Amino acid sequence: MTRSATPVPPVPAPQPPGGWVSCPACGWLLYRKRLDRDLHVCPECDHHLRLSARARIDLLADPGSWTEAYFAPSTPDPLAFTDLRDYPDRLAEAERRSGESEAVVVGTARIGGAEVVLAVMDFGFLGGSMGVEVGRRVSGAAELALERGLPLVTVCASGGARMQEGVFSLLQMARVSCAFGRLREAGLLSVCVLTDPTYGGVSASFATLASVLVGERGAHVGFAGPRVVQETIRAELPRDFQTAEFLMSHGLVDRVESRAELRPLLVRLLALHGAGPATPADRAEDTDTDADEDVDTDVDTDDADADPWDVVQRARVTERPTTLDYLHTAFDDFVELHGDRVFADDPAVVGGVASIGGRRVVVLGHEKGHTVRERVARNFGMPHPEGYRKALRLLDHAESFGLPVVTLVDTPGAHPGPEAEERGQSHAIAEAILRSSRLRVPVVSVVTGEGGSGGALALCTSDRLLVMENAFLSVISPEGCAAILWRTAVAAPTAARAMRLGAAHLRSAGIATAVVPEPPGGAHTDPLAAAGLLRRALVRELDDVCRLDAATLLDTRARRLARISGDDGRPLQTVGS
Amino acid sequence: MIDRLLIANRGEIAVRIARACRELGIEVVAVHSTSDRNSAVVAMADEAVHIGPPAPRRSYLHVPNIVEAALRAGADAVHPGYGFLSEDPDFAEICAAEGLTFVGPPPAVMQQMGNKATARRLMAEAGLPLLPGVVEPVRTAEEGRAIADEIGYPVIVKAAAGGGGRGMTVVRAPEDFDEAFVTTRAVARAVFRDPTVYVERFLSGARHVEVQILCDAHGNGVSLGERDCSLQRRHQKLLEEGPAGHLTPEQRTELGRLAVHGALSVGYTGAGTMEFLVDGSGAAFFMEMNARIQVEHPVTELLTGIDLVREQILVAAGRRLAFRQEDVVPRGAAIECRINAEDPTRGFAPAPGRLEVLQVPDGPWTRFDTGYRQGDTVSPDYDSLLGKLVVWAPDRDQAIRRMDRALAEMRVEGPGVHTTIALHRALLRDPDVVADRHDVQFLDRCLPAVLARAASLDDAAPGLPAARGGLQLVPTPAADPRPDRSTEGEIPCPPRPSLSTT
Ligand SMILES: [Zn+2]
Repeated sequence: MTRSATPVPPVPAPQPPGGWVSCPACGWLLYRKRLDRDLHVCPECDHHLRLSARARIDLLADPGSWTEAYFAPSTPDPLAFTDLRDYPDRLAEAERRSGESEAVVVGTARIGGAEVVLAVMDFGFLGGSMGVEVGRRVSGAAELALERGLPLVTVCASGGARMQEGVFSLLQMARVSCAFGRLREAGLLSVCVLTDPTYGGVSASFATLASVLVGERGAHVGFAGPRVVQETIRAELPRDFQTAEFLMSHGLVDRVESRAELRPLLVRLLALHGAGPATPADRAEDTDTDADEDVDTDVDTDDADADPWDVVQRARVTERPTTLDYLHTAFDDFVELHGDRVFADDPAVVGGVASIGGRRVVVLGHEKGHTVRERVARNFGMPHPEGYRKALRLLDHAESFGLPVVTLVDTPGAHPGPEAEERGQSHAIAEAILRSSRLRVPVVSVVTGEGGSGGALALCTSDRLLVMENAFLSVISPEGCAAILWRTAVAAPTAARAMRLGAAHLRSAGIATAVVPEPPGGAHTDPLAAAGLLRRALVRELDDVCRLDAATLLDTRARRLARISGDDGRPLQTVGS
Repeated sequence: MIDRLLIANRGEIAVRIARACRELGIEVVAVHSTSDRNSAVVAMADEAVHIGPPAPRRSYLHVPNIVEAALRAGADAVHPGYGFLSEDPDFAEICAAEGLTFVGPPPAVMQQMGNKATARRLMAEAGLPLLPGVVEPVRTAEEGRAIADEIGYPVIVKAAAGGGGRGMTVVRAPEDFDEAFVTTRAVARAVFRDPTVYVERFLSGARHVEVQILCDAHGNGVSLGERDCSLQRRHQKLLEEGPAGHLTPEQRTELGRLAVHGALSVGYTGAGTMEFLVDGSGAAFFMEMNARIQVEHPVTELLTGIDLVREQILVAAGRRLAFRQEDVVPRGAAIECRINAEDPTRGFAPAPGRLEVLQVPDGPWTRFDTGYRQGDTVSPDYDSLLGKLVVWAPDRDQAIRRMDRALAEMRVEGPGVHTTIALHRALLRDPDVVADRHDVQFLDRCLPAVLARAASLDDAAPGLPAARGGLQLVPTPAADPRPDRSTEGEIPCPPRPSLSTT
């Protein structure tokens, strides 16, 4: 017997054999046909290889639905630019190499049946750089969306502004931003998919101005290129610097998706914003809730007075369903949108767009998690200012698209800590309360567990405030109250009773508008049944409140808030009148 | 003709292929990972090529190295075995492009059969019966009810991400559909975080029956009878047998005819398996096709006397099939037990390790296919199949007894090593299995009871009269060395003739 060995692992050959491609990230040899089928994602290291604009369109659009928009030819060379070669020469070569006439392709297409305007950049055309023609086409795409009332989906890949067109390139940032601003004013959905690489004049204009920002996994996105940053600060940059994942952890994109997940996500996002084929069946699905027998599911508060301390304990059971549990069981679909777009993504607050019983909504809530690891990661449901700022920007989102808001409240309170103070915890909470008190769309809030102080109230300001049977709102935790007033935390049960914690009191005091029943023993004993009861209550309340126009909503909301005083809301008398 | 064949696999199937090559006079090139450098097939091969580290994707799945190994070792053919690259159409295509004969169907056919939806469509066009249902996710209860009405009750609502009996609801009447749909979806969403569900006709008491076929490149195909593989856990087969005794001879012939017809209609060549789900009445529904040699192929070999791997290689070399359908006469009954290095009591967790003792059963019509020898180490990098114990007997009852005897003879010991031996013995004692009336859900349903029986078998060390020790009719030879005869001058003479069979 003879033995021999082939080199392992294979040395990335400078010229891979025909039919094979060497992964630019890990050097693994990839069979080209397989790579095509794998959407040009390396199976070895998950590196997402760059795609041409045409491949992107094939990836995202329904087959055969693409219609390219026509732009009258133009050969801009405003500076008559020449470097080592004449600029028109470079343009001609880029066109020959990429098969495109510019670095962006615009057209209309259907994505999961929803008609959209689609603008896709091609990095292969002069690095996807933005000159006058790219600016013209991108703003043209936005205008087309406006004109037809369609959502705009943009796929970005660009090194930035095009040097050869000088200051004219720079000004395209303003041109496209203005066009995206008009889309926003018109309440039209825009989604931007940030792919590798998106930098400079494109990332600092339309690429980050869409209603929803989705980063493709591993994509590098930033303003200044990493080399420039490195040379400026002369320090080692984090490994994931400027990746899509880095952006998400800093609250700057809504989601990060693998290439294969992009299209399914777009389909759901479009549907959740009312684009696409109507789904009349969505409502029919609700036969289970329609079979409601019109029984008022509101718990009779007179004889259901639970001991406040029991309520507190049940509200805190670690197995009690959390906001994410309800989002996955009481709602039909949910796409989470992360981040405050400024600083971070607070895991103690979750939110996004969802559907329930055929109605599209924005949902916000505190998230505690269940296991120790989850609870630590989610800071036990205690938000930082960035959590409330995420809530704020999602409230804006709801108003822009006319979507009612559902909030699910379950928090021991806002996070007490120096960083939270530095970043303006009070300011963030106050803004969230104000924004929801004046929001021009309906807000239905449900206290699902602990409603601790201002941290809870930030998500409680609403047209309808529901309280689950074993939930409570309080100005301070019973332990805190006991420690201050009884001088011992052991008196917590007594304090809970003194503060009359629980759904019954909230209902009788007129603070809560209804009580959502729970399965016997509490929601954690049968989470699915609890979700069913919550769903039923939400569908009922939403049906009711969504009938009102914005003016009526704002008026009744203000009056409702004014009435809550514990003394029947006597109006203030002007002294001396 | 093939002169030198590279085996792109490891373990028992690599040894099995090497044996067939030897008998055919074909030289063998083995490939191996670092952890398999001293394996049985390496010792048997004419040449062995080290193709990479233990992780399969860097060795047995790494096409560039395997093709390079074949070219450098001067092989003219590649046998992929099962698993690994055996159903990878790219690999088949690359082999062909490099001038290597691939032992398997043409890449295009492999591609079609590898896509479940395409395979179902092609087989439906060929006239094979399909299980009514949809392959597309069902979005709403209304949509689902319409589908259920069309395919007829009972139906099963299945979570796409589910498995092993979880996330499935059987619906027997239209009025129950909505609730089942909503609940299943809620469970799917809560448990698997993916609410996608399908609706399919539900077969109660269904059996997994697969037909072994063999087709040459000249348009000839034969069926080599069927195997019943209903004893599976979460779609992992544990025990296979043939023939499917619950079918009538006419039903079996018809199933064989359908299978060959389906395979030939898509231009299939080589050995392959058509899988069917068979309901209580014997009605069969095509499920999928496996375009490769299968683990359980010895069952068919024992029933028909045909060497499947040999025929596979001959067909790949372009030979015509040497026998016709009427020459294939399955006789008796055969059973195969997969002996896995797994711990059934711990959710079948892999329990690999060094095989300090590997005592293989023997005796009439008892075959053990393995790639391991005593002293070898079962690596955690690969599947946990230690070997396949296969027996033949004139009828099923005798085969069950023979298998039990063989299982009792088998000894596998080593630190941390557990096997499925006791589980098989318990299975073969189950009244439903003995009566051949189990179905595909049997193991998922009855596993706890089978495990309990296996535990009680383990306690009573099988086959050994442990309590009193062996009966002695002669004195046991002393353990210490006997005194020198010459010095003692005594002739040792047994008091009476020994009856022991030493
Ligand atoms: Zn790679």
